[in-house]
Amino acid sequence: MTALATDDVGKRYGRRWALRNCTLEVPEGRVVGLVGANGAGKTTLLHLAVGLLEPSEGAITVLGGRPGAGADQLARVGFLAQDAPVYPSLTVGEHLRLGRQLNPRWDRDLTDGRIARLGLDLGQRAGKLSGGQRSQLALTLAMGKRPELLVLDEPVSSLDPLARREFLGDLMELVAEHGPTVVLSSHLLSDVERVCDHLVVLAQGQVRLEGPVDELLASHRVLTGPRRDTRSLPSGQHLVQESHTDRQTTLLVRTTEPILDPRWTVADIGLEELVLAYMSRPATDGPAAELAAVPS
Amino acid sequence: MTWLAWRQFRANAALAALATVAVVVVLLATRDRIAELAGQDLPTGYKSLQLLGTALIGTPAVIGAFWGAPLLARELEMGTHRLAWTQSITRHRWLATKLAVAGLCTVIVTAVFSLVFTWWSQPLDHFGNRIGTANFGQRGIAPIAYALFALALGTLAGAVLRRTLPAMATTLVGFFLVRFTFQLVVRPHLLAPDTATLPNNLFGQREGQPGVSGGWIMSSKTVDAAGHALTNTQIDQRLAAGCDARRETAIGELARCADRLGIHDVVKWHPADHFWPLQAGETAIFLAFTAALAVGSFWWIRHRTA
Repeated sequence: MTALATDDVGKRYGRRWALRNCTLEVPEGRVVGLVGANGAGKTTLLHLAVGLLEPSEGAITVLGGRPGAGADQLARVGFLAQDAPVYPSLTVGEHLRLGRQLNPRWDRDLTDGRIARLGLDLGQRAGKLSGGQRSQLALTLAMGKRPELLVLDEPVSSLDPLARREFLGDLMELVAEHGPTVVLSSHLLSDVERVCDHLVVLAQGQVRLEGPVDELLASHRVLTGPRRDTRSLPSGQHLVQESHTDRQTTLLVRTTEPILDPRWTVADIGLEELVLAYMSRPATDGPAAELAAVPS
Repeated sequence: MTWLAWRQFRANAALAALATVAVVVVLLATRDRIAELAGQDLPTGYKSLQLLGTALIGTPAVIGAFWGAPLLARELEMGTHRLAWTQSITRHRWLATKLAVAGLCTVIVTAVFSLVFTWWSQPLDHFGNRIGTANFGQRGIAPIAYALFALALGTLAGAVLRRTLPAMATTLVGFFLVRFTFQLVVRPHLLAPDTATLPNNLFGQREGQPGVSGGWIMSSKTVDAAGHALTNTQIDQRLAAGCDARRETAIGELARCADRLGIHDVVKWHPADHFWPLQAGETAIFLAFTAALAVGSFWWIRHRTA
């Protein structure tokens, strides 16, 4: 079953489209990194997935249901919103009580154990917690309901490097132990690289690239050679990015076939360069997912 | 969910309990003095009544601004609605519970105020009226409906404006606008006023005037035998011409003359027994407003908020 599927989804705020022609399919059991510049539509897509927003056009399916369609659907999806909102005047313990009372599948052992391990004081008001502690509390709430899909919106962007590392390590432990599908957005590629095995690149409200990380890396090659025209590439090679100096041409191509032309020096590409190449491509008219689709 | 709604509201409830106790204590302490004043110094008694009545007019507005406006606006401001709305509970049930807790406290506070105020002003009611605009809205069941209306208005304003302070300001202005427009324009017509035909009161000089008392006077005019309205000058002229009498003439003689000429007063008024029908009508209409605003809030958070 697919954890998250969107079919030509668009979301409009007034006259501005925050997300357009978004078509993607995330299989269950993955840890999906959703990357894109600020304003690319990441938060909008996540809010659609957890049912906070309704699409202006197209259809979105989460775990086979319509997001936010009812208490049952809500129970299957955990969400950690950007900046990890908590009630400042409620204590840590009261937040756990909140989670317990509002979620029928609440896992008390998991949450109590986690809070104890984190060393959080149950009587402490959430407004007095540090940014890292607040994120940990919010993650505990999201995990406590034992979701099948866990959605995290920029979970680490406000944390310092140490807290970030701890948070992601913790997240990976939870995922390994309890196995929900995870979709997390970030504009920090290093974090995505560390934890994600599936990637979705958004730019200007459109999906630019989507697929399993290893397949994406395996299907892209950097070609360097003497300067030449790029119109004569073989049909199996799709040009993603090109740059030229007076004497040299560098190309990023997507292909699953071996590069036979001996004039090219062929190199693998790193995740960061790959993402940046797709993010900097100009917007296309048609559905971007088609361009980005990885031949299987 | 009830626990969370109560946990979020309990500081408000505690403050309201304190305020209610304070008001009740003040009224208990001053009731004897009012009874005394009713016997001796009616004007001072009325002044106190008006002062208290005016203070209590603000109760629903305060409830709307401090309980209604932040109900959604504070969540939206802090982003905690994204925490609440992604628990395993629909946002409609979440809002319904929050509104129920706030609504129940609203009913309790305003009902206590209404009862205590009614009891406190009873000694004065023998002389004045309870249906006039000075204190109609602070007693009976109408203040409960006003307060629920203000609560729903604040809630919707908070949902739409997404910020607490502007929502509070909007609630205050909106509540008083509706409340007083209603009092001036709608309330007099909720029920057809009675018409009383009385001997002319001779510019307030006639003694032993039966008049209308304990009621709410809509209009009063002096007419001649044919039913044409008369101005003060015309009354003077008719009296001067018709019976060789002027204002300076002995009142008894003038009165007999006016009666002979058929000059009399026509008063449109709501007598005291219109109190409960008017209260019921006003309450029903404000509860309908409340329901409409609440439906608006539910719709808004479902379709216009994330």
